[in-house]
Amino acid sequence: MGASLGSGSSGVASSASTTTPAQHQAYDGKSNMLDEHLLTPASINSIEVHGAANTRRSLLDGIFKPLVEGPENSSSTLGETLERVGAATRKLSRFDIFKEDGFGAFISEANRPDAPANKTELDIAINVKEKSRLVFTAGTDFGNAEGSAYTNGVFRNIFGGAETLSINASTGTRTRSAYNANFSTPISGNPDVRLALDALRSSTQKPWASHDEHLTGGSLKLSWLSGSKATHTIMYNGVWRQLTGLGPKASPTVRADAGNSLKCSIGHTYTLDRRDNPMLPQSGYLLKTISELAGWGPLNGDVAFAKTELETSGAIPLSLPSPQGKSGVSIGGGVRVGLLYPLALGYNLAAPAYPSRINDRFQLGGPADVRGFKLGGLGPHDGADSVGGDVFAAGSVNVMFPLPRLGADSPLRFQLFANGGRLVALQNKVVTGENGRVLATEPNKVFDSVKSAVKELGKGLPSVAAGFGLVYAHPVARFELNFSLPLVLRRGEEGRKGLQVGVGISFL
Amino acid sequence: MLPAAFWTHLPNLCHFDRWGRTRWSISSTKHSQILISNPASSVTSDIATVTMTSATAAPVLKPSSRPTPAPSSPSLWAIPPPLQKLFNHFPLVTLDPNPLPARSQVLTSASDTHPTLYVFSSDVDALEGKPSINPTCLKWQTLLRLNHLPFLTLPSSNHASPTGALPFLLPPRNLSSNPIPSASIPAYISRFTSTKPPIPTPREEAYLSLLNPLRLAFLYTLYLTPEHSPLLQKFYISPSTSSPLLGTVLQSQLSAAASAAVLQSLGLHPQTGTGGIDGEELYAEAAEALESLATLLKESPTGWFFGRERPEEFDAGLYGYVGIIMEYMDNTPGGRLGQLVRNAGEGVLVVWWEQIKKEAWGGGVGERGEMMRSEEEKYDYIIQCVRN
Repeated sequence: MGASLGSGSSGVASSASTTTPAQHQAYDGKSNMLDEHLLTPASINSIEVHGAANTRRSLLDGIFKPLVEGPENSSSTLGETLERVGAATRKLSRFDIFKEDGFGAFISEANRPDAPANKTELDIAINVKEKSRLVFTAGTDFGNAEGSAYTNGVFRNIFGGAETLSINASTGTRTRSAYNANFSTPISGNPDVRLALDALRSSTQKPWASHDEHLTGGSLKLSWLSGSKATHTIMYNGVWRQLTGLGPKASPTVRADAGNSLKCSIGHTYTLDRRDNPMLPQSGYLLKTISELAGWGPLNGDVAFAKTELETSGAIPLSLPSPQGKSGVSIGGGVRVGLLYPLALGYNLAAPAYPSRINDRFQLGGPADVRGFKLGGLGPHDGADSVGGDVFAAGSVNVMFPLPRLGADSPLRFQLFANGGRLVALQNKVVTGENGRVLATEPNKVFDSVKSAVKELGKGLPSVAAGFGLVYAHPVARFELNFSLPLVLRRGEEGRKGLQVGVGISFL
Repeated sequence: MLPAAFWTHLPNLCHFDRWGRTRWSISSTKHSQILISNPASSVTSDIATVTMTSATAAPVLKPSSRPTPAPSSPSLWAIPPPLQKLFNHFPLVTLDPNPLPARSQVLTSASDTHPTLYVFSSDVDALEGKPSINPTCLKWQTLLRLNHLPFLTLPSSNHASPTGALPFLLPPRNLSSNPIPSASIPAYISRFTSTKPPIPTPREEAYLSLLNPLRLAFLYTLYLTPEHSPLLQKFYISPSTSSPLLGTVLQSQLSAAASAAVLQSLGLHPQTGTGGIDGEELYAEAAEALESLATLLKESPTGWFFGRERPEEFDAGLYGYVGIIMEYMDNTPGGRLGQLVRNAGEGVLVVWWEQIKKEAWGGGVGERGEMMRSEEEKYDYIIQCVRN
């Protein structure tokens, strides 16, 4: 939630706290007095913001002017007015340029000689403390199946309109080096709609397919909040990929895909997170969809496809008879599905389409993914290389128990899990010689091959592993230590028998 | 003298497509077995069995990733026997492998059975086995063809190579995943043609240095003269990317690398820039080198360099340049190299060029499949040798 809004420590007699309703109930003695006044007509005479020395006037105007000049101001009660001030202050805090504990609102009655007698006119003073504009940090970070060390420079509120420039350099267990610059700005003074420009250069090891991938690119993103829990992002993305540094035993598939390619795509991401705790969900659900369209129409580039991925997970607490009331036992589950549909480059949808490359295909398996498999352990393999697939489905179920003596409030859990999945590649073998497009496939044959690949997902048992282990939910990342055994495998797929350590921020 | 190696599948299960690549018409669930006898031993128990699941399947013979501990010294990390016993029961079910993705099948399915030469080329040209447009690639491609060794070509870039430079030869998928760098191709050839690996005489090595002026003039022409920019685009940029933006980046990288190479060979500082390169001087030196080569060729009674019976590595090396020059830089604007080749030794180099072209590429490139079919016996021998 936004910043805590207190009445401040000053002893101004007429100060009133803008509290949320829940808090409001708690302070019985004070609020009774306040309650009597909440229904009295009130309007705002003036708002002053103190302490925003580096912030542009127009940004503050965008938030506070409607409070004073809006039509609601002339006909509202004190309670409504305070609520509006509270909402505006919370909005201000979402710009992330003010310190969370630095907010204070002081309300006093305006002493205007021409004030109408039937309602109270208020002067409001809001104190803010700006966060430092230049912050350098260095530290360690955990992403999915990777640890890294980083240095980060953040230039906050550069032009006074809550614009942020963030420059990041990191090196990690899998990422040899990554440089990232990100400039983001709120759109028309709204902290919930942000436009971001991102530049990236990185070099990442992909040991499951015996190569390194170098990326150089940029993206333009527009993201907005929809409700309090859902986020939309649309983006344009252009990236030069270089598949290089092949291992001595790299397979023919990886060797054939080595080299340069340019991907230009537009994408949309939707996230709805209603979990109580993202690292250790005990109740609630997550829904995430990722869609990407590359190479089609004006996008161009070297690869063309439509790619979509859906992820959903949830947990329900089990109420067992226990002395504390909260048992801490929960059942969770997750499903992920994805599809890559090859398209023709350019505008002509009837033109032959190119089959997918290894850096566009999905990978499945790993300690934070389908547990009990190596990274990229599922799906088609060429020798020891996991070459990825175009269609996948994966699911997991787990039961979490609190550890004896630690109880439900500790971040440690014992888990039992079973998970599995299928990762299938498209099989359009047909080769056309038209226009020198030797590798391309007719669109109707692409459709047939997608259809049969989707059918293939349901054929036979999925590749499955099951096991048990410990889960530790740290606020930064979740750690798992599991013992697992593969139950069903396809030849070539790489299961992992025994212990497996998983570190990550999102788990299946 | 070829040992009896045989394919247990029926011949009609396997056919060659128009590019001469083997196609398996068996379904992916069927298994066929190839039995290859080991010529080094006469005992029957030494028969190596390769299980092939199909052209699309992942290899079955995978080295075990979990090393078994030596029984005499149990290490700290050894798996305790009861646990190992438990592990041995899993997975409970093992199903057929997932077929490889379409792109991989189209590009590499034939490499299940054939060695692949990774060269600079376009998709179409490589699949049809046409000559590469890179001198070094063309040299080795020609030499392999001159020795009638079957192989496939795949368009590629330096990123794919173990040495950072094309070409290299990748043995058939199920036999070995160790690429053979171009420097080892002569050894590879001598192994499969039962000839001694050629040891260049000091005289040959001295003449080898004559190729350098030709190389510099070639680099200058292709990479640094604006007239040949479309050719450079066609040779190296279009096969790599269709994006004009990325193409510009790649082209400037290539030109910078070429000018650095020329400057280095001329003993100039890399910072000198292309302005320090005198094209006329390069062409004059190339003409002189070609003239010396023509004189050398005139001395030879066989029509091949150094009086060899057949064209060998030196011939192939020169053909790498001359083949591309005569094909693309002759009678074109700014294409002076072609004229230099024509002038050398009153046309003796042109006669040699036509001869070697006929020898290596005669009968047309489209008939590569024909060659392979007739060479199938030799081919089985290759499989066997690589395995051993």
